[in-house]
Amino acid sequence: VFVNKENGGGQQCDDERDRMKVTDRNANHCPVEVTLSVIGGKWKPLILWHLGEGGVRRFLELQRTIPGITRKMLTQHLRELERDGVVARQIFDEMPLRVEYSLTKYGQTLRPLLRVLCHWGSKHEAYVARNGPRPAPRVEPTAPKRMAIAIG
Amino acid sequence: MQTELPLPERCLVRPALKVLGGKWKAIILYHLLEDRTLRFGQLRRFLPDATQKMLTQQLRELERDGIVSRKVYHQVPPKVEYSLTEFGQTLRPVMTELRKWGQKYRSRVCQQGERRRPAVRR
Repeated sequence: VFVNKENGGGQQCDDERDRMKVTDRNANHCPVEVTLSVIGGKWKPLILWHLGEGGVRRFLELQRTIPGITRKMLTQHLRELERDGVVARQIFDEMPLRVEYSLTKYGQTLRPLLRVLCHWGSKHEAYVARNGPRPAPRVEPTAPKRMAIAIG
Repeated sequence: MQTELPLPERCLVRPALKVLGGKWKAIILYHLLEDRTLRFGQLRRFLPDATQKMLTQQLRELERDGIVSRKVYHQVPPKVEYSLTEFGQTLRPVMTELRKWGQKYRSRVCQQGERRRPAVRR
């Protein structure tokens, strides 16, 4: 039985503060940076990817799918993604308690973007494999050398 | 459209964002996509809050990742121009999608802000 989508009542002040943060970051940055602030970071791309491509996931399933993520980090990122309206959390009143995460309808709008990013990541990986890791080149002396021009 | 291709076996979103996600890189790429070729000084004017050191560093990383090319003209005063490489041009649809989603997010948050009372800062 679906019971509740919201966080506990004790989180309300934090949520209000977070919302202000969202508004601030929103007002001051270009749209690309806004997107990056929602989906970027070490773990969020993977969380969103697995929820997008894999569908509904329980907490432990997500933790197992993303090796290296701690329980604390996963909780924190899921909460931030919930705050941004892209992830939904459902608690089922069962014993043991079941908590499931999925993309919201709005979060589904991220899927085409994540796919485009994934494809580009693959292209870039292939590009680096072809060209090798290279230090940033510093000089490209392509300009014509000064030449003495004899006139007449 | 790229999304119709079969997906890579691994999620490569994070590596992609690692290339694009550095501080100022989104804005640098935006301007290079718009204006094609820019001198260092022009880029600095577009990013007044970035220090010269930071901007140089970000451009170097983009160069290293094969996105941006740097052309030095040996003349007086010296001229250095930045543009996207051919590979860098493949970022155009990616940046468009990133921008579109950010715009949608922004308007959504604005609508929510109008519906809600503003939060009280403590």
